Amino acid sequence: MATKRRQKERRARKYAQQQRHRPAQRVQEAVVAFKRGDVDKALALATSALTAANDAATCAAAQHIVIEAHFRAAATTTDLHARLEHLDTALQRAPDETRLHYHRAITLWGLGRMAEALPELAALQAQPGHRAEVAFLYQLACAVTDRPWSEPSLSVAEANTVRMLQGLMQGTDTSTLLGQIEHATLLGDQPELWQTLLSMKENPKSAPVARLHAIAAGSTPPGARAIVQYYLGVGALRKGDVETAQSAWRMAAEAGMTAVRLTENHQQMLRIQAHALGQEGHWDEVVTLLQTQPATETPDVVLQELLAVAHMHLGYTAAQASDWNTAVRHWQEAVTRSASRQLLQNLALAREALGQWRPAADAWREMLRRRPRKQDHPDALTDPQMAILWHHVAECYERVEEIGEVLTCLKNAVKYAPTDVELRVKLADVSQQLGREEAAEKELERVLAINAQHIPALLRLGALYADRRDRDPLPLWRGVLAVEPQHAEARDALAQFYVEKVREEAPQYGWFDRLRRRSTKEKIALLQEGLRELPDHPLLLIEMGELYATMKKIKEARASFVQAWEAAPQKPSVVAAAIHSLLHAGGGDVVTRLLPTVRQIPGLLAMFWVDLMRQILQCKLGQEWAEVFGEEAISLAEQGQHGETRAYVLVQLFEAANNAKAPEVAARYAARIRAEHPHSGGVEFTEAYQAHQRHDSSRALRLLQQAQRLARQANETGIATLAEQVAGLLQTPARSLFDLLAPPGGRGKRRGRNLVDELLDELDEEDRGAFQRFF
Amino acid sequence: MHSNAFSKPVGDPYAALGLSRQASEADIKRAYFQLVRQFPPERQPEKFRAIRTAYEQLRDPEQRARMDLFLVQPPPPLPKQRRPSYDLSVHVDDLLTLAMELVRTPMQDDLGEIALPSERPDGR
Repeated sequence: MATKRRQKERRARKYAQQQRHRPAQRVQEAVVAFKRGDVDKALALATSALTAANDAATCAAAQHIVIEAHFRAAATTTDLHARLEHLDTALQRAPDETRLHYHRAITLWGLGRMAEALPELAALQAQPGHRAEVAFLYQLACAVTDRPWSEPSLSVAEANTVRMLQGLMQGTDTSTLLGQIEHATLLGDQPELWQTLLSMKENPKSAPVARLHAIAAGSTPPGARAIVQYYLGVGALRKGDVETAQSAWRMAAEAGMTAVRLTENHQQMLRIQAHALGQEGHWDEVVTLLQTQPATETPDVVLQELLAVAHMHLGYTAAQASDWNTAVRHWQEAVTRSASRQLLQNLALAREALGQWRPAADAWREMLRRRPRKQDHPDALTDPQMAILWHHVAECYERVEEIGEVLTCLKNAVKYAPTDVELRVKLADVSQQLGREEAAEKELERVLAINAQHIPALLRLGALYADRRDRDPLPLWRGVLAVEPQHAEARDALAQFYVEKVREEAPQYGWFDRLRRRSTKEKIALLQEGLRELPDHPLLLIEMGELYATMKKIKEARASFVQAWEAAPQKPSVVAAAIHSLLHAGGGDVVTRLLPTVRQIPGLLAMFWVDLMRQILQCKLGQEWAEVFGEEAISLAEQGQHGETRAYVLVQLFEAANNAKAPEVAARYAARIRAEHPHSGGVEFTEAYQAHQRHDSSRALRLLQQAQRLARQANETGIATLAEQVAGLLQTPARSLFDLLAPPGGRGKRRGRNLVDELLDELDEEDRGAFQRFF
Repeated sequence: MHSNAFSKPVGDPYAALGLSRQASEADIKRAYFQLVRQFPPERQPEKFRAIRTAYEQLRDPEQRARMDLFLVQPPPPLPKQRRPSYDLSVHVDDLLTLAMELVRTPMQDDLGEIALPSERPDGR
């Protein structure tokens, strides 16, 4: 039933849609739109119907709407050019329509294109039954364009008016004309209209404001009233009455007067007023004045500049009060009217103050784009300034992690500061970040060409060479040590290089020795060489100890481990490696002796001991040591430093024991959590672990969610985060990786497996453990 | 080289020393010593520190130029006003238009009607 109803609805919708596309339907809709007053929509619908219609009736209806819509649009606009355009378009569709020709003639007249209006009027005049005013307009047009005109068809008032205007056009003295019209009947309901205007023309100081007020208030057609209002403004200003002039000119503009002099006079008036307000510091009034005047809509450079300056001042005042939002609003307004470099600088700084880094960067870039290019210009930027600014723009982009833009900006900065090595190093870093290692390498080589002893460049280039394995990084690290013999990073990198060489299994002596490993003796010699270069380096000493241990030279091995420990007693990674190796070499007594020094390492984390415990359990070096390290971790947590709580450390110890496949140790920690921290979320975490081991993932997930909730309640953020991370891993579908890697088909599955194996090979030990634990 | 990345626009050292942006090196030095005499470090250490910081930022022309790039710039002065020139004469073409406006038929009077085909008298 429901399906049938849905089908019916769908059919109805489809039908309605088809109907909508039919030209006749579009015509109907156009008529509705037209009647609603939506001329634009009516025009669009009727035009499209006209192109699609294939029957005469629809065509005629659509045509009629198009013509009428254009006429209506012409009647609505006060812009005479737009009006003419609409009338011309309508005339293309209805070339014989008299009203279109009539209003076209009137519009051309209004635009001062009398020569073009004349033939239209002549044609209208020739038509039988033309409008009454056509004869007058035609004769007047003839008279003022120096053509013969005839009186008989005109009334007395019309003929007198034509004569007067012809006289004016021919340059007849105004006083003579005034005399002629003194007792004559002229066009219009108000006899004093022409006399007033002619007297104003005769005498430039004449200001018959009261009379013009009366005329404007009389029954004059709107177009004529606009002209009277304009001259009322002129008269008022002749008397110095700015207020009356302004209001009269505003009314003239509203009534449709578009003469250039009206706009220019109005703009001139606004300039004076705005200037006066600006001089008194009333910037908000300047903005109000200029934004509410129609005259400012036209592009008057001076007014736009005044408005920009007003916004700049208002923005500056807001900035001084740290109201950056207001400052941005004003400066943004000003920017659309002024090309000032300082303005864009201010806008960029305000954006930065609001933390809007992308718009700030854009403003800085715009500022750089608009900077004066001539070096002798007072606002010109020097090359160092340009470099600083481009670098700064890069930093803005850096904050929003638009690294591509950072690179572009840094490249620009380097153009202006080619010898700035710090800038080039940064450029190399960003290039590397974007995976453009060759570009980074070249940049760093350029830095070294400028300063061969530039340590950051030497280190970075060394790391790049070591990674790419195509160039020898040793000279670079040695270069650092030549400048700064104790440079830790260079020492470590060099030591690591020796260690890797010792562990290297690559061919040394040609094809037949492809599988040959370095002999132990050779390895020891290599490490000794390293120790000569880097005396007492713990990494080399640990490696040396490991080598001795494989040779069963336990005494020497232990000595090397102790030496390494003593060389870097404050370095947790070295100490941990030394403890681990010593325990392998049966050096428990040494570990016991040196253990108090480990507790002195500043900022040591409880996780140091947790990791050690995990390693000891994994290598099965004795549960007693595991317990010692576990207790060290707990007592460090009890000191309450670094946000590691006791419950969190117990959970970590439980997890480490499980990871190292020591279930009895894990069980002991689980029991301690239950007994000592029952409401920390730790209990649920351990139970989730056990549920997961029983392959009950849904229960594990539930318990982990419970653990998160309880941990948050108990303010155990460490446990909450841990539980969240594990839950996240559990929620990831176990098969998805295979699905992702295996393309469809039998061979694809095999390939998928191979890829997973490769992926596992690439993971380091810890990640591999985590991966296997959860999948 | 550091670009001077600020999370907020920096305090204005010119304002701290009571100087305009166009101040010369001599002006900066003079203002500094004058203020130091006014606010000696032993009596007004906070004020002195502010003055000293401002002076440090402005004394080196290179650093000053860099500083200027990251300071909110004061707005420009009001542009000079040109002599006002109104057109207050009566124009003949306005009078011609007036004559036309007095007699012409307004477009509103010529608006046509549009009807739906169903509303037409012929029923089309």
